[in-house]
Amino acid sequence: MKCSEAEECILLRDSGELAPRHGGALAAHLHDCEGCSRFQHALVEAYDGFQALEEPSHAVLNKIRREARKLAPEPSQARIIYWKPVLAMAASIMIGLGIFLTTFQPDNVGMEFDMTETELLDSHEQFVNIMYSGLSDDDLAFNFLMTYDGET
Amino acid sequence: MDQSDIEYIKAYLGGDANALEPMVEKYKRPLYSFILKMTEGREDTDEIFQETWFRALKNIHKFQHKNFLNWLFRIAHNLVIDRARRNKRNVSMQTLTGGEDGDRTLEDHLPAPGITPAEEVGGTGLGERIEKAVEMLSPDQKEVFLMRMYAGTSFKEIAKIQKCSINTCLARMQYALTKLRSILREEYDELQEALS
Repeated sequence: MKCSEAEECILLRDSGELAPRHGGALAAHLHDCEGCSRFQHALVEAYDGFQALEEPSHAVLNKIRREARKLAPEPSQARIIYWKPVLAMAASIMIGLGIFLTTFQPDNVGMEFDMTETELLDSHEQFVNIMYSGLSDDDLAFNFLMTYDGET
Repeated sequence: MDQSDIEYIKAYLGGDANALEPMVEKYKRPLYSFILKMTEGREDTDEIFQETWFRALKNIHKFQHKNFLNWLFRIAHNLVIDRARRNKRNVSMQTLTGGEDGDRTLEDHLPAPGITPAEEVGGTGLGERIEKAVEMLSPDQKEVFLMRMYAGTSFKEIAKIQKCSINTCLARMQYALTKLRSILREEYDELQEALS
């Protein structure tokens, strides 16, 4: 391998573009050639000694930030249309459910009804009174005829 | 490409206006240093740096490169050439065709014979001497060197940007490093002595 080729190989290896088949020949050349070793050393030193230290002013960076905000695409309309009603509906359901649960408590309603019913139906007479209270004699007679089966 | 860059760009395109902030921060130094060394004066550098980002922002939805910093460098390269055309300075860029210096060759940019790079650069610190040596490179050579140092741009990519062959890019980089090799002779000898 000639020195000029070796130097190219050093550069290509550094950039990750060297074909693997040239690796062995390059290593052998570097072992024997001081000039190319110096070349390689210069490359390594260049990375160490040549660093990006300069930076733009805050004013320039702020202009770029402002422009970035100005040019940023709007969030897609589909997402707005989709999420807003869903969130509103969910909120309405939650509020409605909350109001219902705090106002009407099913267990207490059932308990109240059972107690009242028990109290009212504790005797057959009371039951009959409830059943037939407010009915006229004609109604009672009609009910009797309609329910009478004639066997008792 | 850096995975986090993809995420930042996706977030930005999704409507997060501040999503690119980490990228601006991450790439500000290499990009600014590159432009500063390719132009004359901080005023030009500020304008080109800003314009590079503005163009990147406007076209970010088209971004398909593997490396975002390389993309920024490519935009900056074009802007530097535009600026050179307007100012009629930095006239030796190879892509500047049709200009009064369009026929200049690589040899035209080489230092005068008989003067070694070490003599040309009078700095004391290693970094300073390297900087001075790089300043003496032609714009084409300097650009290849800076793209390799600052962005790790591949020679294939540099060849596309400079519109030349990979071999030409390699020759430009070889020249830059040959220059540095002379400057770094003492350091190399000291290193070898220490190792032996």
